Amino acid sequence: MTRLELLQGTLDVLVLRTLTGGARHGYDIARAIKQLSDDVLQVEEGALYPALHRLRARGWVESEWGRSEKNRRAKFYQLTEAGREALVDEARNWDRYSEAVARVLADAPREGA
Amino acid sequence: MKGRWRDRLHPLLGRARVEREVDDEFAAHIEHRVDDLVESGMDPEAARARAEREFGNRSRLRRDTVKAGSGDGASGAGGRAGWFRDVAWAGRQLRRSPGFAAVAGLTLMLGIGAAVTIVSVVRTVVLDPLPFEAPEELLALGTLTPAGDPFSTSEPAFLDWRERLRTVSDVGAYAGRTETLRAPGDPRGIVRGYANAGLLEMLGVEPSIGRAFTAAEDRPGDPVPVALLAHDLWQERFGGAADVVGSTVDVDGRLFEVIGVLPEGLDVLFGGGIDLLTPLAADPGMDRGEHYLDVVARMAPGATETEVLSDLQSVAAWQSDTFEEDRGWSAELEPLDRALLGEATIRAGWVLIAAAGLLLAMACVNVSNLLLARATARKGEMGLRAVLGADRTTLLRQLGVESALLAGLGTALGLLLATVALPLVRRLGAGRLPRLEEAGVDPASALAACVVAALTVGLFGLAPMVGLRREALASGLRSVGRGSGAGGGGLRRVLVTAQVAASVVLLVGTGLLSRSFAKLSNVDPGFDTVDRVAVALAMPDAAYDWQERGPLMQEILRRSGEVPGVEVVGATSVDPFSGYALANFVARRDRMPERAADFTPIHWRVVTPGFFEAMGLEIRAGRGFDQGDLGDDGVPVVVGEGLAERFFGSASEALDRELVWGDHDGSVLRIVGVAERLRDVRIDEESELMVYRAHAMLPWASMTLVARLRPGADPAVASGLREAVRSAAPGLAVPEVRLLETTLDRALAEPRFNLLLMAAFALVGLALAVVGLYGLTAFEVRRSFREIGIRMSLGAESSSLVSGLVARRMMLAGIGMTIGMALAGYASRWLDTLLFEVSPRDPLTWIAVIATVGVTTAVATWIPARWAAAVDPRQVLSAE
Repeated sequence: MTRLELLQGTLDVLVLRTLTGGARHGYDIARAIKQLSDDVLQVEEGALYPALHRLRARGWVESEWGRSEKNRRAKFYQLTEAGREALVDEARNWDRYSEAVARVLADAPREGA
Repeated sequence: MKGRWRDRLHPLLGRARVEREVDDEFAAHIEHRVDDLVESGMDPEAARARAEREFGNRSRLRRDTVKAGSGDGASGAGGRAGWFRDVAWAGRQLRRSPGFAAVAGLTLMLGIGAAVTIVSVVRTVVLDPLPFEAPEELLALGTLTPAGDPFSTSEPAFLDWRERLRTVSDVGAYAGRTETLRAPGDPRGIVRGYANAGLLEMLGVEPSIGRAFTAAEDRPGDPVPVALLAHDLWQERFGGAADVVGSTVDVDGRLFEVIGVLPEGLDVLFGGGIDLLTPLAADPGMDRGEHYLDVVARMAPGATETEVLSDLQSVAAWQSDTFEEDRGWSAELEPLDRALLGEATIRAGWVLIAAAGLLLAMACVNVSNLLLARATARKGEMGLRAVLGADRTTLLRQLGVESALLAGLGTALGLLLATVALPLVRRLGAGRLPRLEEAGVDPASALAACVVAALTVGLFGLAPMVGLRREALASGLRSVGRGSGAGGGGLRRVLVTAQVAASVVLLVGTGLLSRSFAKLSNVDPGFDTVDRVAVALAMPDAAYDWQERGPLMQEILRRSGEVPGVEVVGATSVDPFSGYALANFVARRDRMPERAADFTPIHWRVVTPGFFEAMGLEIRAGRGFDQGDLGDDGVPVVVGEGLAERFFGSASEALDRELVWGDHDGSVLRIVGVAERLRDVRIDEESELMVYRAHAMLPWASMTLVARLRPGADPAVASGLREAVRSAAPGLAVPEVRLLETTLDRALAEPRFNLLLMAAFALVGLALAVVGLYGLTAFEVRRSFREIGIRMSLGAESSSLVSGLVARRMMLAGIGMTIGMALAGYASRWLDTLLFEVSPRDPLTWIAVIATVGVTTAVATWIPARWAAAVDPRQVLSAE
């Protein structure tokens, strides 16, 4: 299966989603997105870290240095309450967006020409 | 938490420090990647190289990351206090559903605004204790005629009570009379109050300037000429001068020394208020048949109303046994506030308060319905948020804040509405309702309304949390995402039913009062009001003696009749709708009862020739008065139709028959005419048994001139009349000329005030009912979109779907209406005393109400149902 590049903005909501189960560090977040999407979605580091810092600036996540499962020092991110709300909103927007796109593309040809 | 502090300080840490942190983060990432690659069997050297390559250009990434981290919101979001975030969130939620927020807010505004306004008014006018010390201890003592009718008290009877009653600590008496103030300033009519020396002290009222009367000044039958000025007269004639004590006033030629100024607030005791108060000087030697005093008493400490009553009755029994004039008379008492305000007014107050409560309840039911409907829609959202890790307390807190915001908004708007509405209400009832001007927003009722609103919104605002359990959530979003809201649905149906029921009760009350008012407006007062003016005249004893008044009256009538524009002029002793009435007893001369107690109580008037013509009162038989009626052949009188029919069977039968006046030794009256029925005391009470006596025989001092003008006469006639009166009697108070239409209008003021308030209520209530029913139905219809879509794609007719929905809703409304009618049937009994010629079971009202509620419900259901059924089924299904 081909891997897909993430659309701008989608990354934020995915990052928030990976944090619903508790705090994670950056590498762990990237790995979680990959796993949750059955390896379809691949996160670029070049997008992940600006995204994390952007989310923190908005107050949706907060960060703290800690020890990873491999006993390495890493910065852990966790959801704030505002982050949870934002996730609800973003997820709802995504639903509308994807349904709309799905409707538009409903009758588009799927088989290779 | 350490992390939070760091986040908050982020912008202050300095760029170098931030970059170092970002670098550390990147390093950690690469290390983790290396670990993974090594674990999967790669050589550590190769693994590191690959991890570095995958990661890319670190310095560019570092720049991007630092820039992203210093973006908007960096300085606040993380540091906002939790509650502030909650409020902001709640605000966003409400803004996101503006329709819901607007309807809920407006509903609360109407409910709270109306309730607070009305309770504030009613409390001030009706329920607040009188402005006296310990008002609950004050009783109005009254005399009862042998026939059991309430009557005024005589001076000797008052003195007996003061001396003999053991269960009261004090007894006071007062009365008011129209007299003329001659100086200082231009002569004008005033109401002079009479009170015994202890009255003010007993009420706990102190003069605002000077002192009250002393017992020495109140000496029996011979009062010292001292006077207390009422606040308004003090302002008007003395410019509110502080050194007014020691000045003199001339009342009908007698000089009184001013000893002080009365505080405001005594008006409630004297009905329309007084201008001046002088000692009563009650005389034990006065005629016991002269009844004119109002008596008030303060209960002794520990005494009960029942004890005072039996005490009073035993004194009255003693009086009846001892004095011939008191034979058969008894006494009664009433709490002072009820005696002054009247049972009907107090009941009207409670009816209005009940209506206000009902309206507030309807508003709350409405908002509850809205919140429940919204809760169903939000269950999915709550479920999602719970699944995403928000804990129950957080959700509860946020919903709580949202509810508080909504309740606060509605309450604030409601109080605003009340402050705007109160001045309007005051203007509506101005002049006729005592103390209405003092009405302001009542803090207690405002608080109560706020609490009710907050409880409602708080309780139902948390509804989305009902049934939201961790286990249910754990099973995934789907199960909660399209919540059926079955429990909420049941409660909603109950609330819809309650709302319909409340609408019915409110509308029935309003309908009955409206019908009552319509009847009252159309009632024939017996006299014509168009092109009629009235002038009140006072010809006091001190200025004009008994013999002088007859000719004086004739002269006034003659000159007034010559004023251009005046067609006919006459006079009466009862100023129309002044609330003043004269009563006495008569019997047929040929069927004299043995006991005085069996004489028939009647109303009577002193009138002059021209009176019936000027008032437009038809003479049914015989004639009116003329200048020759001096009573040589028995005293000629005119009686009302009611009396003629009751006593003699018909108007014509009554002619030339004789009545005996007052008691067995009373004068004999010969009936020369029968006049049509008249209502001039209260518009809603007919003075059924009426006797008119001639002014020439009984030259009454206080008369009201009534003039019939040429149709569309110039208003300048008024000044002509004043001139005529002034030239005929130079010392007389300068009279005010009033239109009788205005007088009648004022008589209708109180019922109109009640009605307008109720009508405003009913409109608000109906609006609430319509909005509530429509909103809920529309919501339910939208929820059944999927079902409608499926059934329509299966070939169901849209018309049958619509009728099905309407039928289901109408059944609910039917239950509500049945309950409402039962409640209204019970409640309307309380309206009985407020209704005029309308039965609480008035079929027209009931049918109209049922039709209104039924049609409203049907339309409120039909519109959204039609709208749903008109949608293309495919669209409905795909939207779902």
